[in-house]
Amino acid sequence: MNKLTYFLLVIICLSGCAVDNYDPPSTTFNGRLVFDGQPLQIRQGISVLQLYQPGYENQNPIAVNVKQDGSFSSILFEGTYKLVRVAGNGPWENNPDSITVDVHGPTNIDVPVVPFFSISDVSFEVKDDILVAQCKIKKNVESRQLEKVSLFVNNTNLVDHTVQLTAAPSSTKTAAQIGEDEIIELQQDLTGYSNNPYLFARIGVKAVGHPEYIYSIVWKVR
Amino acid sequence: MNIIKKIIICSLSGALLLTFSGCEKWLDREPTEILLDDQVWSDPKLAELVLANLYNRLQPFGGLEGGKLSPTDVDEAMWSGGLGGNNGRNTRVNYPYTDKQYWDYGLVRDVTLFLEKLEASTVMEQEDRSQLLAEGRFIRAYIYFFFVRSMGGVPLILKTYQYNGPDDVAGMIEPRRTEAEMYDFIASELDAIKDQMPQTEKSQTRANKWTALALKSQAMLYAASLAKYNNLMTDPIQTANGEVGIPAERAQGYYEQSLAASKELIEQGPFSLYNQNPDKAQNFYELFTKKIGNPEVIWALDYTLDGKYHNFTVENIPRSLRENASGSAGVTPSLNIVEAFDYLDGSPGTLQTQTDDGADYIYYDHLEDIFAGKDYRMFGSIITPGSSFRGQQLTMQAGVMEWNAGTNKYITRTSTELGSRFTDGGYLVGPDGPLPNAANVTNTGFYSRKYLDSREGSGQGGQGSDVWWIRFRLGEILLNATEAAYELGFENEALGYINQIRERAGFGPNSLQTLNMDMIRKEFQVELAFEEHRYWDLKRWRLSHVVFDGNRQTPSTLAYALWPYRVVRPDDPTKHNKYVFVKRVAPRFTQPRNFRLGNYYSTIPQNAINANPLLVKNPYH
Repeated sequence: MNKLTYFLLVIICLSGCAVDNYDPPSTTFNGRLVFDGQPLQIRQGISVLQLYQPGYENQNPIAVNVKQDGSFSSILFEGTYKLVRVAGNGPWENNPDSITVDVHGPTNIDVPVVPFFSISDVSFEVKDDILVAQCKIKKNVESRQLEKVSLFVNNTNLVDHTVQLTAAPSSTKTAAQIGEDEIIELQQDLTGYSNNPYLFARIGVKAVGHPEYIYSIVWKVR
Repeated sequence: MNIIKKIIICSLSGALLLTFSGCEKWLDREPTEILLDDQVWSDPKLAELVLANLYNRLQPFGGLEGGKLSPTDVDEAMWSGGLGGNNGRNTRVNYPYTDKQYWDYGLVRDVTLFLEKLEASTVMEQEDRSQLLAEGRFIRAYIYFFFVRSMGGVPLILKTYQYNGPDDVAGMIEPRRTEAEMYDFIASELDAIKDQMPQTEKSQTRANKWTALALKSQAMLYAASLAKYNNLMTDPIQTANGEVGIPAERAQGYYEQSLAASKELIEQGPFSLYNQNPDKAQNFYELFTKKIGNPEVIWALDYTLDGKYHNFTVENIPRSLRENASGSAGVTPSLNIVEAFDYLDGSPGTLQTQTDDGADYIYYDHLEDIFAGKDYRMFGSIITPGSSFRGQQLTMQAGVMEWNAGTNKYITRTSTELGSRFTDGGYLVGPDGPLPNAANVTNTGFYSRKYLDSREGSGQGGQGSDVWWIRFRLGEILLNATEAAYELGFENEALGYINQIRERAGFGPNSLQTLNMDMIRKEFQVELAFEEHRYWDLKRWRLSHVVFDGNRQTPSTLAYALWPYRVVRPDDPTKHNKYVFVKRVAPRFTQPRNFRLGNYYSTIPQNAINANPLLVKNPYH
């Protein structure tokens, strides 16, 4: 075996590196959960959207990670997908229909859901170191009962019922304490959090029987 | 020359012929390292060997070996051992959907092969054959119980298949059965084999009439509570065709079946509650470690120092008693379970660490004084500060509280060194911790006692322990009977059963006069702590997502600790060298337990779904 043969062998082996490679996916797929034209605010990390691509042997769904402001962003191969709203995981009415999505070039999509309640007329204010939050609630699904409305505060801009610092009773109102169509006011004393340089607040609405809340936008206290 | 050639050729051919004829024998040798079908299935002793292998594969979760971290799945315990992989138990954001996933059809095939080949054999004595067949069917029913409680209904495979080419496969695809059908199958199998195992009637490690009744008592209770509590949820967890979700009207029938099985065991079985030691705390501990003459154990997974031992004691022994270079303080009980045990006078089990107005600590003369008057079972299950194990008193002390007269406050002094001394010569940090961030020292202030081996040497990695893992005992059956009787409306009968358990625990006869489900659930929690029950009990009562709701403020989601401190305050002899206690979240446990609705039933493995398009996914996945 002379040097030339060795050299040729090395070249062949190295070029083999390219034979099996696929290009990574590069098509962006963005979207958001919407109700009534507005993006839906949720707890970040719940598994509510999956993408299936029929026609292949591997039938694993692709998880779509939805951020707490309802938006999601994935990078996919081009093709036709079915977007599925996972039954029961989100605080909205179950919709078993899948949405067929054609991904050819950057795609944007609005995924409609019907949450059990909607929050509107949200306002936050800090008066004398007490955080006062107000909102109005509307029921969208007849069969669901309101359980409670809570005010959550956290020291990062991710705020939901599993990552929060509050425990005060005045920051929660149960359904019995809330009348029809009235402005709900919740308060949280902030004196205990003077050590935290950053505070963020959010209102959450819980329906009876479902563990997840429907949220308002996150408001930066400081 | 020719003649010589001929002779040579002839003799060579002759030699060749001889060797070739020897080939026959060579190729027809009997194998010496495997046993053939007709040998095994004609000799009951050899068939028992196959059965022994099957018996050894029946502990997918819990137990003293691979599943010993099970108590850290619930509010009973947390991991205080090494800082590597297992520490993930303390920091996980939620339970994975694959938790408790069980899909061992390989084991199902092995059991089915056992049954088919035994059935086909004609040489064995009929009584041996029917005994072994019944034990095999018991194992199969037990395996399908694992399936249904983890996954809901699954394909019920009762025969073995042979693969003869790709066209065959379509005919082998089976759909999932409904959850109720699975429990009905288990019940009918157990009823059929109950009286067919006379040879092992006295055994506590092999199947017999009593293990069949015990499994029926447990399985039917699971089915009944699922039927009832699943349908009480606002959104019952179910699939369209019943693979998950038992109809509510079946609850009554299942409770009745469970109660009947429990009663037959209690009234006719040779079992009684272990009560041989007048020291009630030591008695409850010995129930789990005494193998000879233990009348309470119905079925256990046995170990022997002669080749099959386990390292439960190596991993969980208190730090100051460890006999190995690694290990100790693995699974440590939390303050949550310590406070779940009530006081003997009936008052709730919350420990008193501060005066009523919160102004000052309560001072205790000795570490053990704070636990005075608690349910004896707590002392038998958990090593508390100041208690003894292997003849040594164990000192858990987190530090010293030094009184500063100038500021009128205590200054907390600690160290990272176990067994370190303070300036006055007494302990600064106890030799058994607790420490906030060290490996293999308790983080909660407690150590496991249940199933811990007191024999010297069992903490050595090379020696191990032969303490057995009890799967069914009379205590559990009495609790099953209590719940079933109560749910059927027979409160007095239920009180009769639960008071027996409490009397053995040290409460005195007839300690309860009225009953409700919360009390029954509490009794399950404290009597069966660390025995691989709480996780499944919370699931079947549909309370898991409430108890572990991911909310840091809910007391059951985090592991709490009790840290003792020695007071140094020479000017005040009523407080100097006494002990105070601080309740806190265990520092290594950082994420609240979050049980989602999708955790009630695990995901079906994706390769199974790819291969079998009839399999319906479990809800919320």
